[in-house]
Amino acid sequence: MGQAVSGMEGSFDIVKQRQVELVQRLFVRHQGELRGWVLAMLPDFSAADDVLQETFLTVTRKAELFQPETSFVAWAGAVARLHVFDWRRQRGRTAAALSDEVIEQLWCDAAASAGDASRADRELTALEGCLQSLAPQARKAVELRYRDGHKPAEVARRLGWTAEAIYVALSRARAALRECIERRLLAEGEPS
Amino acid sequence: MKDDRLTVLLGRHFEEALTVTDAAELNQLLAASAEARAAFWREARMHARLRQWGEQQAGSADCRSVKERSFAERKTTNVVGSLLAIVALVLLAFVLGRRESPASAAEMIRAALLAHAERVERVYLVSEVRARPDEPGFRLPNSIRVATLGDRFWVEMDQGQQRWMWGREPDGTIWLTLDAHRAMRIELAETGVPLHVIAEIYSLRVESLLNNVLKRCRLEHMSAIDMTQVITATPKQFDLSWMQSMTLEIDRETKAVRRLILVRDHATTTFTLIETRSANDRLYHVEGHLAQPTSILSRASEPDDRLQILTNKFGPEAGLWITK
Repeated sequence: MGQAVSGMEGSFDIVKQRQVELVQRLFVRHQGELRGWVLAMLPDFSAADDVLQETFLTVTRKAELFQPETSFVAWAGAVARLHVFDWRRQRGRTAAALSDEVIEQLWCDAAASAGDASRADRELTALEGCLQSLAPQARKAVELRYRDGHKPAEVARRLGWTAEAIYVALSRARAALRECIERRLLAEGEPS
Repeated sequence: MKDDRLTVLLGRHFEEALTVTDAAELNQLLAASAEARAAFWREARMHARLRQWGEQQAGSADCRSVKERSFAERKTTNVVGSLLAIVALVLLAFVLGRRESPASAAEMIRAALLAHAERVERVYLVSEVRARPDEPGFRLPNSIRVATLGDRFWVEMDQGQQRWMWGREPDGTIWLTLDAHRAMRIELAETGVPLHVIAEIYSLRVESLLNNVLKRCRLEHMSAIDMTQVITATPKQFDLSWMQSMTLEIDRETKAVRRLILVRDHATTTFTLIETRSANDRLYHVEGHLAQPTSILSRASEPDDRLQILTNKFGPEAGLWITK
C-alpha cells in the first residue's frame, strides 16, 4: 500500500516536472511578445525586466495550472499583468502614467491578438537591416537609448540636444523603422 | 491634428516623460478610441523590438553600473580592436557555419534551466582555492565529483585510500556512505554547523541555483569564449551576501552549464562539467550506493555511535558534524 502510494506520488512528480518544462519552454519561445506587453505598460527597461522575471518565476511555480490546449501567451500575459499592477502598487503609481482602467483595456486588446512568436523573430531580423538606413544622429540616439539603456534626458545630454528634440527624434526613428520593417516583410511575402 | 497629438503623447509615454496633463489626455484618447489603442500597440511593438535589439547588441545588462561600465568600455575600444573583433566574428561565423544572435543573460540562464530539466546526468569536478589555505578545518579530499540530475545531486569524494558518497534528501537530511554496506543519515535539525557549511558548498542543485540567480542577482553577459557564453551574477539582495559573485559558462549548443565559479569571502569554488551520461535514479538515494546486506545508521539507532564513527573516519573536526 505504502509502495503504491509512493509510486503514485512519483508519477505525479514526473507529470508536474513535465508541465514545468513545457511552461518554461513556451516562456522562452514567447518571451519577446510578453516582454513587449510589459514594456508597453512599464517603459522603464529595468522595471520591465524585473516584472518579466517575476512572471517567469510565477508561471514556473504555477505550471500545473496551465492547460496546454489554451493560449500560453494569454495565460502568461495574465500573470504578467498582475505583476505589472503589483509593481505599480509597490512604487506608488503616479498621476503621470496610464490609468489602471486603460491598462486593462489595452491588455484585453493585446490578448485578443496574441500569438506569433516567429513573426517577432522576423521583425527583429528586418530591424537590423532597417537601422542601417537611419540618419547617423538618429541612429546614435537609438543606440544610446536602446543599446546603452540611457533615459532620454541622458541621451539628450550626450548628444547636446534638448529632451524634447530627443522625444521627437526617437518617435520619428521608430516610425521610420516600423515602415521599413513592414516593407521588408511585405517583400518577403508576409502580410503586415 | 488629433493623430499628431496622439503620436506626441505616445512618444512621451515610451520615453517616460508624460506630465500629469499629458497622462490625463492620453488616458482619455486610449479609452475612447480603438484606433488610438491600435496605434499604441504599434508603437509599443517597435519599442520592444528596439530594446530586444539593443540588449543583443550590448550583450545585456540589467543594472546601471554594468551599463555604464559597458558604455565606457565601448568608448575606449580602438579602431584596430574593432577591426580585429570583426575579423574574429567573421571567422567564428564561418567556423560555426551559421549565424547565431547573442541572447541576453537572463534568456541564456532560462535556456540553461530547460537544458538541466532534461533527464540527463551531468557530472562536475570540483576544485577550491581558499583565501587562507592554512586555516584549520576539514581537509578536502583530492577529488570531488558532483553528479546532478535536474535539482538532485550526489557527491563522490575520493581521498585515495578512502572514497565515500553523500547526498541530501528533500527534507535536508544528509546521507553519507561509510563503506560498501554501511551508511548513515544526519537529519537537518541535528546537523552541526561545520557539516552544514560543507554540505552547502558542495551541494549543486542546478535548477534552484539558476532560479536564484535569475531572481536575486544582477546579470552581466561578459563575452563568448569558444563555444560558451559567459555570465557573471552578483547578488542584489542581502540574503546571498555570503556570495561575492558567480560566473557561469553556458554551452552555446547544449545550453548546459559547463563551468560554475563561485567566489565567496574565504574561498573560490569551481565546478567543471566533465561528463554527461544517462541518469541512474537509484544513485540519488543512499540505498543505491550500498551492497546487500545494508545497514543505515540514524538518530534512532541504538546505540547512536555515529559521532564516534565520523571522527574515526574523518578526524577530530568531524566531532562537530552532529549536534546532540
